[in-house]
Amino acid sequence: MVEQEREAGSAAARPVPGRKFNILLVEDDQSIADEVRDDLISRGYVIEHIGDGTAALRIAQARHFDLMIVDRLLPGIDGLSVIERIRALGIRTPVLVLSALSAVDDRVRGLKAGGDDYLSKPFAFLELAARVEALLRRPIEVRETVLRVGPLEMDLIDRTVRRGDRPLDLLPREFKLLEYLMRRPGQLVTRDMLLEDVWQYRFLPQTNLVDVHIGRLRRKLDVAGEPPLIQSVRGAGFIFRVPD
Amino acid sequence: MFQTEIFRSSPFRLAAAFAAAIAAVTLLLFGFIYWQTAIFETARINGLLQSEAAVLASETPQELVRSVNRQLAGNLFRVTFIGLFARDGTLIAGNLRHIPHGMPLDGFAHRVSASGIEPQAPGFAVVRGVARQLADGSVLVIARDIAVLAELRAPVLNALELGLIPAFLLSLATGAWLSRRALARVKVVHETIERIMHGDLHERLPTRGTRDDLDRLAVSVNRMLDRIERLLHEVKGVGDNIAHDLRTPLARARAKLERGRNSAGDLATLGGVVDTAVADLDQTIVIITALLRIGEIETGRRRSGFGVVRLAELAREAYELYQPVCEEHLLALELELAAEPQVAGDGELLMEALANLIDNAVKFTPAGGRVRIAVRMEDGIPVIAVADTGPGIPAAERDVVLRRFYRAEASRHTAGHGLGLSIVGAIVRLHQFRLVLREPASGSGAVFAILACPDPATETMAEGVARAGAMTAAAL
Repeated sequence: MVEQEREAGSAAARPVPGRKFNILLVEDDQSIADEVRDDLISRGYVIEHIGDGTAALRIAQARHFDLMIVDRLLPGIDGLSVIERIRALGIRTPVLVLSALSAVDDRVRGLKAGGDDYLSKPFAFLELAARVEALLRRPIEVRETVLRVGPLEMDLIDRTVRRGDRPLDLLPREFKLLEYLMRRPGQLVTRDMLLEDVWQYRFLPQTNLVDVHIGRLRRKLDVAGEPPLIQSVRGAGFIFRVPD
Repeated sequence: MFQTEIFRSSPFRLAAAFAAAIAAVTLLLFGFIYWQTAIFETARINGLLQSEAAVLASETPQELVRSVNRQLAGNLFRVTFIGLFARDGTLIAGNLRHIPHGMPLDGFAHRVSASGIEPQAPGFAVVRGVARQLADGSVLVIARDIAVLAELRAPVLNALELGLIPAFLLSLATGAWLSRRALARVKVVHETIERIMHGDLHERLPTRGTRDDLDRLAVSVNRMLDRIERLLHEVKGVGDNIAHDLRTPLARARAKLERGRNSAGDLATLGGVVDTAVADLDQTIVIITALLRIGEIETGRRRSGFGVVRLAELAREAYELYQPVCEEHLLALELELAAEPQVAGDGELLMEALANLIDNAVKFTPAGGRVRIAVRMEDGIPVIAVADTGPGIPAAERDVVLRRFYRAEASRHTAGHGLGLSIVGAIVRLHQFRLVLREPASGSGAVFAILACPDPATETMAEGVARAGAMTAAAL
């Protein structure tokens, strides 16, 4: 049981086949940097590690990266200033801010400086991997008002969902939750990401709120005999998987 | 050291300033008296001289010479000068040699320089004189020194010496005595504070029950010390508890990892051991995160996120959020909206507070029970409350659960950080609302109510200390 779930976890963070993504890691703590680098390399990314802000600014201007992971506290120029200067130069590379500061204000400041996501230390590698994947693989945007993923069909205007021919009766929040998952098929979505993006909460409730809501959504999605659409990844989150 | 302190003490400085003021006023007074007396005396002499001159001028020349001689012989006043001069300025009779220079012959008294009168008699510094031209062209001069004014000065100075110097010295001595007394008390206070600073926190400033200013100050300082001591004890207890709570999962994780390394036969077993150790470590992180959160709310004092919050909407959202959770725990979640009040606050933080209260209710209420979220008005005060049908909180524990950083004994064995109520407390304090714990109207259970009114028990100093405590606890 445990084994299966762990496998689901590593599969979750499998990068898209084809081109390898280039990631610039700016982190002055050598041991954390080594762990992060090894973990991301094992997930198929190419990592460039830089230990200080000044050098990071230089290399970010000289070369193209698909993503930057920037620690807030750096020798030389601090992380937020690095991001601000990169943005001022017109570089739109997505940035994930890492910080030992978890305060809400710090988070707001990090995003204001031009960061796209914020992760406070200590973090689980699966959480980091999920955020990296989310930033690299932009959610599915559709021109029409209907989102079709696998057997599901979601009308964004009428707020209705069908699985095949069967209409699903969803509450507004369940609709939002499913839409978020459908836009990120095959992608690990963590509990924190759901709380932040679907509920817009920046605090962590003590009970397993997200699991309960996902469980309820799951019961509405899958009836007997249908392949399950939402998989759990133990200790991390969920994957919306389209059956083959 | 102590001697010089007397001169620097405030009572002595006050006394010295007072003595100086008395001296200045006395000097002014005496000066004024002397000045007025001198003016009066001069005017009297002037009048005498002028009328004397007028009387003499009315006499015939023969009588006048006789009168002049009689004046001299009669020695009316030893200090009186007189001279009758012929038209050409030669002396006819009298003890003056010539008409003083620049003397107007107008019959009025003038100041005359002594050298112009009697070179043999120096010392008569100031002389008043009258010169008058007579009908036959001769000139009559009478003059008189005003040494009497100089004589007047002596008693005035004497009186000053006798009155002023003792008064001045006496007030200085009184000041020194008063300051010595005050310094003795201040010294005791200093020594006490020194001992308190060195850790003797149960020491108190001495009071004498006189209700004077120093006494009242000492009483307030003592009350402050009581409060600080109590809060420090609380914080210390909290620090010890937190250290203990962190130590337990850390010790477990350590033991598991060590045992896993020594005895795990295969990779899968080791993996399982590592997973449970990571879960233990996650537990410590959850506790630390909650402590930092409390610190953030308490120190942040950020009221920038404040706006209008509709409590009923908040309750509806919480209901929607927790309804599935309650269903899973076989609890009935009820929503009672008796009013739709608006309050000034941070909606996100109030949601966090409400979520923590519901979390607690869900955690401690056995299956089959009920949890109720209610919004209503009580005596014009908006109230949002969470009631449950759990075992409730024993009367003995009711006071302590609302304390900062209180971790319920029961929560040590359930999931979560057990600091939910502390987070609620911090949010409520930030809003200056009140958090109260009530008994349900019927049956068992607990009711936590947030009263959206300023808390009268809020004390700035206490909060300052609590804030320091929050930081200490967070530093752990």
